[in-house]
Amino acid sequence: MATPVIAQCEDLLGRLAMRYRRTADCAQRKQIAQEYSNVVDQLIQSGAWQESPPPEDQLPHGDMPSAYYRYWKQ
Amino acid sequence: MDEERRLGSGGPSHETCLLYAGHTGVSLDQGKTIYGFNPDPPASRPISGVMDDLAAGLAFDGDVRDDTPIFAAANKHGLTVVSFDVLFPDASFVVLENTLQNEIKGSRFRYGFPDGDGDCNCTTWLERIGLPLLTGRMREFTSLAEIALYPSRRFGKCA
Repeated sequence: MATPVIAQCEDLLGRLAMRYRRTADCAQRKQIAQEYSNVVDQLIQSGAWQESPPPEDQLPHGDMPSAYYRYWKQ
Repeated sequence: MDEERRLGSGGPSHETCLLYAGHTGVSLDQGKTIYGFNPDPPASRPISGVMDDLAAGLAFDGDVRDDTPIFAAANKHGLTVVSFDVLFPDASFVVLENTLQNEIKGSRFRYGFPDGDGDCNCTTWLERIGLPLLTGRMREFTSLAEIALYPSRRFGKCA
């Protein structure tokens, strides 16, 4: 089971994905993708990220952080 | 999916996607047939493209299918399958039955991820066709801890 901090970060990814879909503005999407990337970094650095986000909590492939793919391909 | 992106073919099957993502359905005959709500993208669109479109907020026509084999496969793979009974007064059951039959003929809903143009996935579709998911017990409702994380809910161009 995820620790409370991990769970909070995972929830945040879901909320950021929803915010991303709510706007069509490229600049806003870029900013949200950056926030998403920061949270992914935090999860990776925790060393305890055990479950990849479900599809609805992800961004389109091109906006997913490259660190995400490196981590889950290990 | 990476392979499909790289090579243009060899993506996961529809069944694999649903087993990975999770799925919901409704049965009116004690589980013999379970209907679920699915996206119906153009046949030429690869599954990786469909997932990207959904993640970007686009919606696809909805399609109600007999997904009994999906739930059988979930059981076979040892995945958790949760079920519960919803009891209706006779008149309300007829309404639900008619709604479901109409949905099977052609759904009036569009499939999309939360806060996109669809806002109707396999989970929210159950509500849209009139299936009550909550008992009315306040404790049950307040136990849905994640509800508080989403203080606003947006309906897209679902219907």
